[in-house]
Amino acid sequence: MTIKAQLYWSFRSPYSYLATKRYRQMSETWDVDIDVKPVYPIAIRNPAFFSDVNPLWIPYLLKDIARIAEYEGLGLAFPRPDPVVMNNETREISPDQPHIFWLTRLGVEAASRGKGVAFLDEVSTLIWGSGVDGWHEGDHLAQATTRAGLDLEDMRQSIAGNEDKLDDIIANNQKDLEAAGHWGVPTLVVDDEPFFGQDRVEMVLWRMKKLGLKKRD
Amino acid sequence: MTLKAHLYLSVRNPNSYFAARQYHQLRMGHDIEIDVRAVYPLAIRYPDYFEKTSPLWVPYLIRDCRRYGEFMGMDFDLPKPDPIVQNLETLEIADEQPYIFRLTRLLQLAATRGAGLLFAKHLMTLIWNGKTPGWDEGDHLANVAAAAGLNLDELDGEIEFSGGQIDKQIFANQDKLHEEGHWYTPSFVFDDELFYGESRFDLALWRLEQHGLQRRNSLSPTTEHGK
Repeated sequence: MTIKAQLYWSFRSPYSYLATKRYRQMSETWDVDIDVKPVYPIAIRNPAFFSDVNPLWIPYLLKDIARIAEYEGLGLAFPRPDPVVMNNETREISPDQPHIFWLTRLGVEAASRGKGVAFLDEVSTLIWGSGVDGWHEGDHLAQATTRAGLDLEDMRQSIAGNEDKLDDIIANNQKDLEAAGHWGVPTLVVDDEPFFGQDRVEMVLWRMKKLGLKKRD
Repeated sequence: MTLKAHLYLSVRNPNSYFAARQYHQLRMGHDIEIDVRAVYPLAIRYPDYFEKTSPLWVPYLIRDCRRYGEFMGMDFDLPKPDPIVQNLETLEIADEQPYIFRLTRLLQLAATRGAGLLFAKHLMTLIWNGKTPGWDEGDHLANVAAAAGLNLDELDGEIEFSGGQIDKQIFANQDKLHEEGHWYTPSFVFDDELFYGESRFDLALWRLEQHGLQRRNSLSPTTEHGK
C-alpha cells in the first residue's frame, strides 16, 4: 500500500533545499507519495524572529549549510537575489517582497498538478544550488519548471486572479504544520508524526519501513 | 597522529546524552582525544528561553529523543528525577535545584582529571537511559565515578572545598562555547570547527577522517561510518 506523507517546506529555507533531493529520490525509489505543503518563510510568518534569535545563529547556519551541501554532494551559494528581501545588517524584513509570494504560490500550483517534489527540487536547486546571479531573470525559472515536467507560463495563467485562493491554501498549510507538532521547515509528516530537519531524512525512511513501505516496481 | 577535539555537554540535555555515548564510542575505536567541557543547562543559563520558545518545542523534543534512541539503539527515557526540577507542562522552573549544580561540577571536575568523556558517558547513561529511576539514590553515582576511575567522596569533597573555582571553569566553558560559535549543547569542536547537535556526528566523523583519523588498533583509515 502506498504510504502518504506531507512535506512542509519554504523557498527561503536552505535546509529545505538540502533535504529535497533526498526526499525526491525517496519518492522515486519507494512507494511513497509525498504531498508538498509550501508555507511562507519564518521571516514572513514572524518578522521579529531574526531580531529575537541568538546573533550566533546565522553565522553558524551559513557554515553548517555549506558543509552539509559538500557532504551530500550538492551545490550551495547564497541566493542572488535572496527570496526574502531583508537588510542583512539590521535584519529588517522589507515590506516590499517581489519574490516570495509568487514563488510560494507556484509551489502550491505545482503540488496541485502532482509534481510538487520535483518542482521544489528543481527550483530550490536553481535558487540555492546553482550559483546563478539573478535566478528570477531570463528563462532560468521557466527551464527549472520544465525540468520538473511543468509549464511555467501555464502555471502563471492558472495563478492569475486566484492569488487569494492559493494564499488560503498556504495559510492552511501553516496551521496544519503546527497541528502536526512543529513550526519549522522542512518538516515531513507521516502517519501523524512530524520529522523536522534535513537531518531526519534517514529516520523518516526507517519509520516508513516500519509502516510497511515497499520499493516501487 | 592523535587528533584533539573537545565536546561541550550539559547534563540536562538529552541530546548531550546521545552525543556523549557516540563520541565515547568514537574515542574507544580511534586515535583521538576528546576533552569534555561542562556547561550549565539552558534552564540555568537562559531561564526565559522556555517562555520565548514555541510551546511545541518541548513535546517535539521528547518525541524526537524517544525515536532517536530507538533508531540509534540507545535506551532513552525521561529521567526520574529530572536534573532540572521543572514542570514540563507549564515549563516553570523551580527555585530549588538540588541536582544540577553538583552534577555539572562533578562532570567538570572529572574533565579536569582527564576522565571527562568516560565519566560523561556513564553519568548520562545512568540519568537518561530510563533503567534507573532514583539515579540520585544509593551508590549509583559512586559507581559512575568508580567506572571512570574516580572516587565520588573525594570529588564531592573537592566541590565542597572549591566549588567556586569549578564554577569559574564552567562559566569559562560557557563563554568559550559562544566564542567558538554556538550556545547550545552538544557542541563538538575540532580544528576550530563547531558541530552542534547529536545529528552532526556523521559530519564530524567525515571531517575527522579528512584530517587523518586513524583506528586505534590497526591505525588504518576508517571506513565504517563514512559516507
